[in-house]
Amino acid sequence: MLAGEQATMEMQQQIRQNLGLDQPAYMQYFLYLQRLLRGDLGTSYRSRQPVTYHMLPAYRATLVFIGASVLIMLVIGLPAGILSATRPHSKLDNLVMAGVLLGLSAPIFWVGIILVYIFALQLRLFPSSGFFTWHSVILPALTLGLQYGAIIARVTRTSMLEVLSNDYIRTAYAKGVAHRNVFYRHALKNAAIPIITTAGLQIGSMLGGTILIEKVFAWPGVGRMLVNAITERDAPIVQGGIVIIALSVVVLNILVDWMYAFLNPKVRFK
Amino acid sequence: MIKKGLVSVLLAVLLLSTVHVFAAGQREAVVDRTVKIALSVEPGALDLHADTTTASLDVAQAIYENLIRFDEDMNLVPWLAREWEQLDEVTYRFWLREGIQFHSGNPFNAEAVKMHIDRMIDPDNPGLAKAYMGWMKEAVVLDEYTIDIIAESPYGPATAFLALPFNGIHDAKLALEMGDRYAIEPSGTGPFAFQNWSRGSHIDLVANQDYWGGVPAVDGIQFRIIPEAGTRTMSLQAGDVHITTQLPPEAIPTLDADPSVNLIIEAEPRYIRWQVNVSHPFLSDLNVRRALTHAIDYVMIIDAILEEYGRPLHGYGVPGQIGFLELPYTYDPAEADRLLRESGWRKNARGIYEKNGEELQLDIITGNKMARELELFEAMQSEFRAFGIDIGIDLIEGAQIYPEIVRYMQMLYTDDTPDFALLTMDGGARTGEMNVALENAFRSYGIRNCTTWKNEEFDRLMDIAISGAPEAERIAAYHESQIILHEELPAIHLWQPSWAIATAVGISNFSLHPAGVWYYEAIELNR
Repeated sequence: MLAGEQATMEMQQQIRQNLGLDQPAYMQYFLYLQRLLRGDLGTSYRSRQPVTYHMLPAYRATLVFIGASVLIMLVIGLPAGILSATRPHSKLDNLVMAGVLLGLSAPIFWVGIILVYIFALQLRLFPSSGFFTWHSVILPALTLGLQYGAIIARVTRTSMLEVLSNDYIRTAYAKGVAHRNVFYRHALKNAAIPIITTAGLQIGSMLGGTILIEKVFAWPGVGRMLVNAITERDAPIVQGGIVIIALSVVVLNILVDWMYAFLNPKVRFK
Repeated sequence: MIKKGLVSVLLAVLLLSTVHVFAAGQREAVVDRTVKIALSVEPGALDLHADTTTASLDVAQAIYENLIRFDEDMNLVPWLAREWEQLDEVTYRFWLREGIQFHSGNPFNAEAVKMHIDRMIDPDNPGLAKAYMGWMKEAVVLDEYTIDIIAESPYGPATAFLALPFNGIHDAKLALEMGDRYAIEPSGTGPFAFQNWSRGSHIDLVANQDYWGGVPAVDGIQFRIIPEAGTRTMSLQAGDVHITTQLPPEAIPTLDADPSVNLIIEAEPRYIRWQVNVSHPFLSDLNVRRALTHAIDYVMIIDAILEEYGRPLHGYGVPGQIGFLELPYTYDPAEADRLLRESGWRKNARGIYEKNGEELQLDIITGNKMARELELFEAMQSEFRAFGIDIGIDLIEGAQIYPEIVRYMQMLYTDDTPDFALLTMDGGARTGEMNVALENAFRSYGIRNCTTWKNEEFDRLMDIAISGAPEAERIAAYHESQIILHEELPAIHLWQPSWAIATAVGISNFSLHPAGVWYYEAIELNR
């Protein structure tokens, strides 16, 4: 790819040498780490530009997409789960849980295509693809947010029901604390830890796992960039992308751990 | 209190990341009279002296222009050169148009053309263009607007090669100053100038207000990268793009019925064939190769499966190319049976030909790049099975086909033997002449000859065909070389694909050129 079709064996050998590919694997790994510490993620084989040139716009697009998706996930998932938990096994609960089941079961690319068909093709409310104006993010974020929101709704309901059955909740009611306060200040706060854990994991998986949505909506994010780079055998982009995703997941996990300590005084960093 | 503050900060971060879209939207707002074109593959680089793929050509064609180019009848006409003349067997003189500037403001003159050529043929620059310019020796500046291009030796298709899209004149002076960044901020003399590349998303070009051929009728072109075929189709129907190519077959009926869309399906100047590994244990026997051409009815199967997406080819290039010779295969299962029996093959209990305890089993490698390619091969597989040949289909990633070909070709230098049987290869007919279809793929040590087939007579004929000999002599050499191919069968020709393009009804003066390129200078957008 680098040398072109008419490359001689000598040219190919020279390129291998320049890229350090003639070194043993452990040495290549060491050299890569050395460059990484200097903030050098390498140069794309295909475009001959620094990996950061590809990475920054893709990462920005992914952050925007995930930010919007998380908002939708929480806006849909939390109220739905709380609503279900307030009246367990009622018609309302069954209806919400049926919606959750649908959200979880429907293939994400199918949901995306249906949303595009309705809102872009028929109603012409939003663009069908790309990342151009603020409108662009709504359909992809809604597609992703609906599915992840369904997971959050289910976890919220389960967690809330579990907390609501605890003795201290009964005690709070016995002491005459208003239902509203018991529900939102005591129960919801204690139910939040599994919700945050799940949300944290979901956001982590969103970072690199949204390739289907990115393909359907031609969203120029990290997932699509990685898949393209794999197809084009552009190894520096693949390596750089994985490093950035891994770092993001680590930071996210630290944030989630920090949230535990923030919500539950029993958890403390030492 | 602190906790509330922290929650607020977290929510603010979340909101900010979303609100960031507003800013992006403001920055990337595009003007109204911009034509939006959906591309399936993002170019790697817009410097054709560096890019080793063809993915950049659709965009590059709007930025760069050639000295000469093909008209609608595939005749060479002057373009950036106002006139040219072949002085002797190796020297071509070009008189350049005056008063033209590159988008950067650098002057277009003989010195700029020389710098472009020197850069293109520089061994350190790997671009695809160089693969087609091996015949070029040097460029000599005579005065500010006159230049000689000199070939290493007499080369018949030289001028046709100069008209190839790979050979658009680059602003080499700027490239020298910019280094690798030129690949993402290019400059040419074309009707549209590079403006912005939002990686993974889109490339913006603006109309060149100083274009020598007149200012384009639209404000610019935005190439949007939409790899998913279904999304490209929906984007066109939703009005988000005006032109889309490489339509999936299943989208054709829908688009055909849509009054807001014009559908263009034309034969593409491209051929598809199987390259045959003549070192393969079974295919090294010429009788087996010949049996493959008689065993099934290629014409019937291709017509039935491909419908409007392709038509059977009856030769090793595309009809209309200079030097093309029609050499169809005849469907004759009895002859195929005779050939196989002559070589000792007999049908076994499963109805498959067998010899020395081995069944006649062959694999087709395919990247499934063309519309209905896989369906076609499955139909052929079934027909071959009915005849008595067991065909397997080895599906690989489309982009991997050429690396595979190069890998097999390089085995010639290492004394390894390629292990494939039949490899699906496509090729373009952009020069209007048979040389590209024949030379690289079949000449001994040709850059795409993965068949291990070598034939001195074929090489000799190719030398004549591409020499500076009179055209009649060159055409005769082309014909004879194809007859050798037909007798020796290092390849089996299959079909010529069709090109499906859909445009919004407001788009006019835009169509696929017979040379397989798009020209953008006349494009119009009427709302």
